[in-house]
Amino acid sequence: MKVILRYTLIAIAALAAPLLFPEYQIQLAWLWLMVVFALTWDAVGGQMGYNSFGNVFYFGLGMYVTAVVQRDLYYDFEEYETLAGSLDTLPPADYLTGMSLGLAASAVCAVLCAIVLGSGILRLRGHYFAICTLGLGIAAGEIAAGIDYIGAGSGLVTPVFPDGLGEKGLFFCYLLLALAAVTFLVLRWLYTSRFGLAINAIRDDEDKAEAMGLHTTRYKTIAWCVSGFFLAIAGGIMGDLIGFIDPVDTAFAGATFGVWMVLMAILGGKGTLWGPVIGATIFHVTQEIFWTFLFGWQRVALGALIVIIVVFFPQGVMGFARARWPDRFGHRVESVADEGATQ
Amino acid sequence: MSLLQVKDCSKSFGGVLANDHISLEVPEGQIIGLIGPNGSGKTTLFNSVVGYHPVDAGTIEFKGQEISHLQVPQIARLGLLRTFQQTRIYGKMTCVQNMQISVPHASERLAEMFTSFPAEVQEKADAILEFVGLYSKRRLLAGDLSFGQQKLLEFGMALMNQPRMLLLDEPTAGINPTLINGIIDRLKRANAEFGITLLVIEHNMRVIMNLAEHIYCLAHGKLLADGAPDVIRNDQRVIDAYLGAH
Repeated sequence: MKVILRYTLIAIAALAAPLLFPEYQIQLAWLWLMVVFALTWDAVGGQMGYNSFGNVFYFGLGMYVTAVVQRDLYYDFEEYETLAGSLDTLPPADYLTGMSLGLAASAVCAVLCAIVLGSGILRLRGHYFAICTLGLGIAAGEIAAGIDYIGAGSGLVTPVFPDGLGEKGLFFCYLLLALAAVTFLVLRWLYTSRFGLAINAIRDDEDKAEAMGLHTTRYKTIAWCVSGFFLAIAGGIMGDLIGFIDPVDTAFAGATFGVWMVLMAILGGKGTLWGPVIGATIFHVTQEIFWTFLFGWQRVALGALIVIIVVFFPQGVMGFARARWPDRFGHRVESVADEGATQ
Repeated sequence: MSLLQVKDCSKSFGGVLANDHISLEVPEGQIIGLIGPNGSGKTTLFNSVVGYHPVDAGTIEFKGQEISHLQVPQIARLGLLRTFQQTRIYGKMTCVQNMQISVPHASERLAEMFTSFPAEVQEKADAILEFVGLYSKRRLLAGDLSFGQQKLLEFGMALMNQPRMLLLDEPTAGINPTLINGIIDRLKRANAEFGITLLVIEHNMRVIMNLAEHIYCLAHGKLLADGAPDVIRNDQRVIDAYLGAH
């Protein structure tokens, strides 16, 4: 009951926030994006222990696939390339159809890529995996910048948000909230299943998991697919919200989004359900405060924050809480009476 | 027919011949010991059997099936399991979770990966935790247990996997003498009650003489002697090997 009450309260607050503070709608939309970032990174980096710096690849992939599907469904390629933003906006129904098909296509592409890439990259462990995924994000940005079909280095404009769908900020805020909520609930369910225990086992000792006969490759690939699936959808939505895709600065933005998703998960507590959500919230709010009050020094302040997180909160908020109050997390000796039996 | 049959197995690392034409047999239902001084090739042989590295020559058959070309998880799913000399458990998971995830994975289908564990698994996990004496600690993180308790947990996890055969690499190393008796007792019961065939590496002579029905002794990568515990105990070559005559 307490759980249902807690979730209801959070849902009400999340739904009411953009209506109560309309000037913060875009900020809230970004907050939900950050939550998706942290949650999907944590599935692979926290729960499974595979520190990935390349998850941003799926984000950029989704962004491009969605935009291309939207463009090719309703526009002429030549015309779109030269006129782009000045073209007539689509009717709302067409815009929504294009967007849904685009998001579905990007999710499918991400899963396929995850299966193909995962079969190779997921064989690496530890630092080697981290470095390889770092390369993946950078390479994707460079490759995207060389393909004319997707606008190459000069970027790709996404279809303009049409009239008749209400306020743009509110639309995207709720869309991203829905995505964050679904991501959270799906991961919550996965973590309580056999899958959750299996990826935790891989994190704690992969050699042991293999020696016990676990289908480790299968589990790892699935985790990578789940992560890519939600990131690609987030990417597709963000492409339409931002309105313009730059291959290196928005799509495959390893130095910003790619690093932030790691930091947010660590800040909140790697390998916990709520940690990434808490971490994303703290991180996003702090970052916006820096931007408002320390303008000009915001990057320096952000750098300092990152150092503080890594040095003083390596376990994150939830990790700290679990070490401090293990009882609350259910880690306790069950009854004193039969304790003697273990000696 | 023997459950495990190793024939003429050789394995070298660079110039070091770790296993030199070793042959041994483990009949179904028995407890077999493997002894030898440090560096005699016992763990190398274990690693070859469970598929950590390919053998240079020879064959390894389990249940009549050639397994020397299979990989670690495949061999484990056939029911041939090993425990580690340096105890390995999933440290950041609770004891119950450690047990649950150790269920047999041979027949696991894709859809099953996303379901929770059925009630029987929970009951079985509890029963085995009771058997190894860790029931009251089942909600603790496995990494917070003492070394001896971790060994017991690892043994429990192996039982949870319902193997046909278990390779134990020094099950009593680093454990206090009182707990050692408990471990010997539990190994014998696992063999008698659960019908698990055991192949045990052990340095503690009191333990291995007490436990095994037949003992193989390795020295310098070669099979030095084999026989019943009494025969091995009185074999001059074995005594020499342990005292450094070689």
